Amino acid sequence: MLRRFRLEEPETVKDASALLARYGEASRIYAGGTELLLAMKEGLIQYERLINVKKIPGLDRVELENGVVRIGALTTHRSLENDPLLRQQLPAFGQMERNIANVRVREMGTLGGNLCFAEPHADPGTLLMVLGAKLMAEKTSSKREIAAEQFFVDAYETCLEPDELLTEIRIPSTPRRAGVAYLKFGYLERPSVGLGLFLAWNGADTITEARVAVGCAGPKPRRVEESEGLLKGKTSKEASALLGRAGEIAGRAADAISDLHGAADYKQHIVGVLLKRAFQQILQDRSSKA
Amino acid sequence: MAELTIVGKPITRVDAQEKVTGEAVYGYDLVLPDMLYGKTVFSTRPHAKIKRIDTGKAREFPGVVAVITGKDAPWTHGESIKDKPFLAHDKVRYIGEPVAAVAAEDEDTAQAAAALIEVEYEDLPAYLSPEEACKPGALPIHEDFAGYRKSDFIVTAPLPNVCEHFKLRTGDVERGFRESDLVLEERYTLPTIQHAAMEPHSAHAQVDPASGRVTIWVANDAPFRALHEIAEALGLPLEKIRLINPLQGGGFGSKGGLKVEPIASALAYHTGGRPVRVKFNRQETFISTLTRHEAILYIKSGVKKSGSLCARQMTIYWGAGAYAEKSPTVCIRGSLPAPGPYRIPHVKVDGYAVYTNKPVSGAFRGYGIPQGAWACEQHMDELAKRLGMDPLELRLKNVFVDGDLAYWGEKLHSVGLKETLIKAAEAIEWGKDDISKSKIRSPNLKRGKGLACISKPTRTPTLSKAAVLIDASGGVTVLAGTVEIGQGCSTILSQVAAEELKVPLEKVRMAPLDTDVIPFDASTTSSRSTYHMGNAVRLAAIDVREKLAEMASPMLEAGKDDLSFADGKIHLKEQPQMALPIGEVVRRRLGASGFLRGDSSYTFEIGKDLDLETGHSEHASAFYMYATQAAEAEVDEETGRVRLLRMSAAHDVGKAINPLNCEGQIEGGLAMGIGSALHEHLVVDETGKVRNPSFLDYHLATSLDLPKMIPIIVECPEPEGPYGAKGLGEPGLAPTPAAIGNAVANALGIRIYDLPLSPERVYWAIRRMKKKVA
Amino acid sequence: MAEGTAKAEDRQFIPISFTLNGTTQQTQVEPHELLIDVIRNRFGLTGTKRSCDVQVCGACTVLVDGRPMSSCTTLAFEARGHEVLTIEGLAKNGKLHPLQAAFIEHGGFQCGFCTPGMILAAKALLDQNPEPNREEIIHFMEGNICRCTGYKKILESIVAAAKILRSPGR
Repeated sequence: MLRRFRLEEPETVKDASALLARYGEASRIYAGGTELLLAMKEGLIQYERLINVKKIPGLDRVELENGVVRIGALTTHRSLENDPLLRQQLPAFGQMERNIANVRVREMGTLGGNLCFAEPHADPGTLLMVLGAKLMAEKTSSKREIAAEQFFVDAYETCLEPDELLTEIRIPSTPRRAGVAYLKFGYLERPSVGLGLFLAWNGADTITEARVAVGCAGPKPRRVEESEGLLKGKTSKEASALLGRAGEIAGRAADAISDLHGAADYKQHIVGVLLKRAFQQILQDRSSKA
Repeated sequence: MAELTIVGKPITRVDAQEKVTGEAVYGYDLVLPDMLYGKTVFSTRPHAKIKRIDTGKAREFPGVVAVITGKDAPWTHGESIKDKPFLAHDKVRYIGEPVAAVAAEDEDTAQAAAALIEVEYEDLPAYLSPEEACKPGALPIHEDFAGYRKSDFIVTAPLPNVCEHFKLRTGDVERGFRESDLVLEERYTLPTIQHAAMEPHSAHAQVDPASGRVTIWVANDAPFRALHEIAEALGLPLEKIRLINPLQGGGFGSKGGLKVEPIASALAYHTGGRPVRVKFNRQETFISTLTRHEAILYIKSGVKKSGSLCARQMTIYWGAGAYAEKSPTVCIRGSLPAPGPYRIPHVKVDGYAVYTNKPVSGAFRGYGIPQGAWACEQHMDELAKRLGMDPLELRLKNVFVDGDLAYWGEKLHSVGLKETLIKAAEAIEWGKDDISKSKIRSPNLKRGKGLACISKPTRTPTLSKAAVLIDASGGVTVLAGTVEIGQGCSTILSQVAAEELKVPLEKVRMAPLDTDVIPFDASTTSSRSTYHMGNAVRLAAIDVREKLAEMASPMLEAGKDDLSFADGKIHLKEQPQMALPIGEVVRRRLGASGFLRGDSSYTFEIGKDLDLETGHSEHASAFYMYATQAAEAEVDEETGRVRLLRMSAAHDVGKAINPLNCEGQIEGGLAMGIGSALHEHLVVDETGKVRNPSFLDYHLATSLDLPKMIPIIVECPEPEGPYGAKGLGEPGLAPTPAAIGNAVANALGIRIYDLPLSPERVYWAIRRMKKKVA
Repeated sequence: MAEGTAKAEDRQFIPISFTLNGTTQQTQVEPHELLIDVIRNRFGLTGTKRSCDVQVCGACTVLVDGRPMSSCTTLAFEARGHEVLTIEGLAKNGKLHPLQAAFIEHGGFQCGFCTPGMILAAKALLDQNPEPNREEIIHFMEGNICRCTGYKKILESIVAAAKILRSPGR
């Protein structure tokens, strides 16, 4: 059962921000509602007002501009899953979208809503971190760009200011000599562990850039620079030999908690397994492309 | 037997149209005129005295019609031990126990008012493990246990919190162990799981103020038993109570016993005659209805080098939860065949049903057989390993065959077990491991095969009555108390009636289930319906057919014995063109609104209760169901994830009255068994709280989780069964976890003793072994 | 009445117009009302079932402009301007949709409680992808839970219906 609330339906981002400023913590942005309404039905959170942003035009486009894929925050998972541009530019992202929850959640849920709700078991944040994504936030008076790494503060908590809205997600296209993988593992409805890996290399097969992020296991997704440092500057063969180490480090960095999804030490271990497999998958993709 | 025209055919379901169009109205959908909406307040403590309940604010809440607590409902009920109050009396025994209830003009009001009820508790120590709860010195969860009203067959033990002690004594196990070449002792466990039928629970009740008559609308799987249990509790004569059974959205045992019914009936006494509906949402269904028994099983066997079983001893602790419900009979009928479907000269079993401060355990598809099989069938593989024998060979050497004297003293017949073993094994290419293993894609993946077999008794003796009516249009109405819980009984029983009367299936309809008009039936449980009610409907159809022949005899100017039935007509055997539609016979004799009725009553007359000291009975079960399932599994050693590649399930059904439906039962059981093997666990934490009362965290098998399924129907006819049929509803999930456990052990060389085989559990088992080897 | 945090005098009614099973409906809903409750309680269409209430099981699936939605977690006002199809609207003039017929023919249900959602999800799949392979069917349907059948006959029903829907002359 949902408790009674009022609905506001602004038609511009500025108006939505103004409403947030006016009603403060008694209000909340409502986009797809897939996580929000569940929590409200459970009585875990209550709001006097929901601000439906779906009447704001232009926030559900996917465009390529100067090598950057720009995704409107209101784009649903389902349309991202099926988006031809995304499939071509960021196949790993489309694949991740295809495997979020179930088709009904994907039809309703939006990428922006998913990020802003910051449910610890969500997939996109982890992958966006390794893709080098920037999140565009906007309020009445200003706009700013937030690196994906900076966006998540804690479980269910982001760095958005009370009257700020997430409007767009900008993902640079993956360079030619680079590969991306997102793997997840779980055994309940939501994943226990998610891992994103980005690798770029030069013509001599030296890894010029490595980005590792872990999610789901702990309160928020995070980059693991120490693991990245181990892999960077190595050939793929050298890096392969270091994966066990890199995985252990990433496992510890995951800040895993023991819960229904598994004990912390098991999740830590799984992070390592996923890192190894993500690495292998990227190499496989590379050789099949070659 | 005459040639069968419709029995044995894969007929599509008779309840199909309304189910695919959304027209079907389930208990959960039912809206009664002028109905009030109920809401229950549940205990938040696992074991506590109730110091005070303050209902003042709730009573004053606008729109509230009634607020009740245990003081307004001084009744207790229970299937065989009357231990459960309608609403908690002076103490609570689990988190989720109904404590108070509200009836209001709408659902939201009821919920808001219920939230205003304050309960003050004084905590008592809680017992969360059946093994701990029955240790000497444990405090009683039921202080008044000795004073409870109980059925005659209840055997208690001088141990705390034991509500039933089942004993099986055959031969001398100590001697058997001495005579053995190899003795092995192990401990297996299974956690609490839940039925999770797609339709959650609800009940509607109304008390007529003038007559005091109580009417309850509930999708209960045993309407007559529920009727008796409520009447007994309320002190009402049976004619003062009526149960109407709307369509049921799945049950698997959960919809038996009383859960929502007592709350709805208690509320209905305070609504001035208005009907009240009490509906549990999914979370409430998880914490406050019924679960499957967690169990701890100790098994010790002695075996000869040749593979012959000499002795088996088992001690089983069944976690009853806070109230006895069906625990005594699950303990009895689950413990009895737990040593497996094998010839064993010396057997000793002690089964204890033990109270704990956890949600109530009840009937669950399989009724104790899955628990016994999880232990026994993996134990068999461990014996085979130590003997250097193939697990199939060890089983074939020891399994029951026709004429065997089972260890509970019954001479067995119609045993199709061997055939199920051979067919299930063949279907997954048993013994051809090398071919399968060569297909493995990665060194982390290990493959293995395993199988498990079971026998399952049915509740005996039990009674089913039925009536079959023929009206003047030739329509046939079947009055049977079997509940359509999705298992397809309405199709099966329609087929039986159509077969005996030789009418097209479209002419047969099942009457809605209302205890005011439907003849008695024991229950839709224990896989008993096809056999018992199948027999009853068949006899009722024969009865009405005989009456019809007698009526038609003068009309067709022929002796009764010269008449025959076909295509909805009665005709002369020698001159088939001399025929009358059966409705026409009724019309001519009884008029256009007349109908002819046949009645019957069926019970397995030689069925005998078990001896309370030895567990023996010459006829413990009207029939036995036999099954073997075989699994091929692939285990990811790095994550512990078990993936099933294929599973076969060979079930001896006696005679498949409807093969399509039989396959459906086998496949559905298998999926449920796979869920219980790999995923399901209702997690109760150290504070007694259910941690995962949601489908988000209680994972049910989805289409992603399932392997290639190979259902195999084996027909070893039961002479007493209708057309040779036995039963099938329950065994589908019984051997499944053990078959998978054996496949995993075969793949890894490691035995895992506890369910579920979650990736984490399997992974740590692998790690432990690797450490040991290193 | 729901005891919400919004004050009673603030009660808000949103006029909505939408198509329900082909018929235009105009009504008013409060913001917090769920689509499933409006469908079941206001329009009396009880074929849409509530089971898990957390968007996992799919028993409450309805199609909104052909897209499968969990009506248990969809606000009713979202139907505004859209076409909502429930199981009751699938058969046309008493003639079953090929999916309904196939579920009967192939034994794709038992208790039937998940069936309305299951059939509607399958319709969404086949409308988008008339010739899905096995993997695609499973991937699309994995969010619809059936506790009775073990899914085998459901998948067979969908494959059979897809074939009929693709057959020439339809």
